[in-house]
Amino acid sequence: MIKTLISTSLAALALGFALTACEPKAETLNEKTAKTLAVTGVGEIEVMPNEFVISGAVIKQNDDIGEAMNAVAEVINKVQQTIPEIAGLESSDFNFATVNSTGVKDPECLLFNQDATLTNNSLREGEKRVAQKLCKDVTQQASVTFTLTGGPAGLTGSAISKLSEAGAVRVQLNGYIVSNIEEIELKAGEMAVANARDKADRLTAAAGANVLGVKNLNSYVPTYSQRNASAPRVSTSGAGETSRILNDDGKTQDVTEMNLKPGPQVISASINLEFIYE
Amino acid sequence: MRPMALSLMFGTVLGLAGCSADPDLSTVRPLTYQDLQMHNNWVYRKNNEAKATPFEGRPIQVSGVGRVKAVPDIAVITGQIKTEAPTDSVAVDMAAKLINDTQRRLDGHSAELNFTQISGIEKRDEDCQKHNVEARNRYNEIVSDNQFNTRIKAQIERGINTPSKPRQPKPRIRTKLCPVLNSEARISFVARVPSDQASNIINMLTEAGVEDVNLFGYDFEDYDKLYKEAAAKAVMDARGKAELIAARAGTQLREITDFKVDPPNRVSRFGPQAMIITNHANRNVTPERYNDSVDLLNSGAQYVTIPATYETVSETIVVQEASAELVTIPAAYETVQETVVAQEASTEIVIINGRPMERVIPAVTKQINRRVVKTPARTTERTVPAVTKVETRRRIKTPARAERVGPEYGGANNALKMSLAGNRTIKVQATLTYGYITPIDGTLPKAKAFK
Repeated sequence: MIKTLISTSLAALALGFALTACEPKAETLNEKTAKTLAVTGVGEIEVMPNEFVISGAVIKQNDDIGEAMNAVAEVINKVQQTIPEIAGLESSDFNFATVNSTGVKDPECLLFNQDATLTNNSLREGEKRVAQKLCKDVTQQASVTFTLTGGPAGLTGSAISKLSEAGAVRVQLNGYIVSNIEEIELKAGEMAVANARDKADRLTAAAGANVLGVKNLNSYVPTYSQRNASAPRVSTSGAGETSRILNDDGKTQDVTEMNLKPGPQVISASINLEFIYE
Repeated sequence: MRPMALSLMFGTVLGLAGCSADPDLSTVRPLTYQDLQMHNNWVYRKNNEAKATPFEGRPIQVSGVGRVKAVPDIAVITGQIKTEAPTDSVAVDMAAKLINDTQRRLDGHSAELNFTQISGIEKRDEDCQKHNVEARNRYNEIVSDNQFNTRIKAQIERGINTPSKPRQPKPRIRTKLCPVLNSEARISFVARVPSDQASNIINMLTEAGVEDVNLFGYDFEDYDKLYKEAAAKAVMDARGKAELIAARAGTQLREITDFKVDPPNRVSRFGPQAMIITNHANRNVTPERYNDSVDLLNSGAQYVTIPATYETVSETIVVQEASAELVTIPAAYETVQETVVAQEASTEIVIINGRPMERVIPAVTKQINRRVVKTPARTTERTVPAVTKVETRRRIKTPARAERVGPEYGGANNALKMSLAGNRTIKVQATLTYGYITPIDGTLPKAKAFK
């Protein structure tokens, strides 16, 4: 048995020697001994946005929910009719996030229940629990929330004014859309990489060495502020703090057209690269 | 013996066959058992060498600062327009008039406006909201006191001697319903203007009705060039420090192992921006924030935290509120002295000298004492005064705050008292990390040391 093992080992050894003797010499990188240099590069590009994103809501209250819904529909129809009529507007796209009809509870009653809950949660010796009330509806509320995407971005002010004039509330500019953002982001990334390489080249040259290549891409961060477009929330719960009793006399009010031209937005990227050098 | 010889022969033949070049067979000798032992010894030594951890000194990390002075040619100003009205449309109309007027005033001033936020929100009664915050705080205090008192009571019941006393119950505060008073429209913007006109434009904006006007920072048309210059100086500064340290320590620097240079400060240059809406906004991307503690453009202005100061005050705490109670006041009596006639005055006929004559018998009186009601008994309402006690308490005299030190450059409308003529400095910090040669790691190949 031992003899068999020895003979097998010797055969393998001979084969190993033979293969080593004729193996072509290839330059391979030893990751354990390779020298690396980590640098951060940044890139910035100024761009003009193409489109605006505005969100808003239409909220109407009435004792009759049908009447409230009709009032909302009237405003929504007016909004959709007047926005495309803005001179110079090339695109407009409404997206209705929520359509709700709900009863509005008596806010005083909701407040009482809220206080009762707090009291019951912190009862002291000798104190009695406070019974909660059954809160009734004081009116009915219908609401629609929406986002409007349109362009060019220079007509943001006109769109906001028209929306307010039609009766929309909680109107706000959510932000801008840059149509080819992915491409610009990539360009900023390329600039960041070039910046990183430049730094690495200059440093290694100062040390009398050469950059061989990139070993690791540790992180890539587009640093511009971004978010999803979201419509405002309309709620009727919570002790009257979140519900709104509208001071709405139904009269229309002319709103001056706002002149808002968006300035350039800065898209930036930062990248962390690890270079190998010799 | 036969299998061994066969193996050797087979191995040798295989080995030679595997070689592409023609071997010189005269130099080939058959492998022996000794060769195998030598090979095993060699493998053992190699493995042990690999296991031995070579000495690695901790790298030197140095920071350097590079500064380049230049006159800024762009001032970044932020402002906000706020209007309040009973309805949204009126508030937006007022804001529209204001912003249009503002832009008209800026015409011809090379000002570049960028709108960062436009919104309409409900405005509730602020006093009422503050009251509700107090109510919420009081609730939290009550919950905390309850927990504290329960703990103290449990300690007392277990016979643990505790210096703490149960806290007095505090009255509850009822929350209020805060009505919507108005609608508020807000427009926030950033203006990049020529720096020599910054003061005039800030005045102009203020006169137009813009609130919260701030000189946010400065920028340079040739920022990239200045930044590169400052960054190069920072690297050289750091390298100089590292070489000095190495020379003093009697060693030589090897290669750089890590390197970091401050990136250009985008936010201080451009101010806040509007959001970019994307369909991939759920990525883990952190918006760059304006960090005011950073020495922006080397104004030398930084924030330091001033700790809170405390004082001990005596407070009168009402243990029991003042109240009213009904009390019966008993009747009051007094003793009066009265003269009563014991016998009335009368006349009698007496014979004097044989003649009847009438003689007056005076009345007989006597003094008596009598107890009489002076004031009758009655029921009246009496105020029971509040029971109070004085307690000493430690309270915050001035809260902790962040205070700007160094020259002022921000704040609302303070550009008027600021000289815009001077140089500004771009400051860049670089951090370099070097390995270095030590006597112990002499086994390493000769490193290229910096000269």
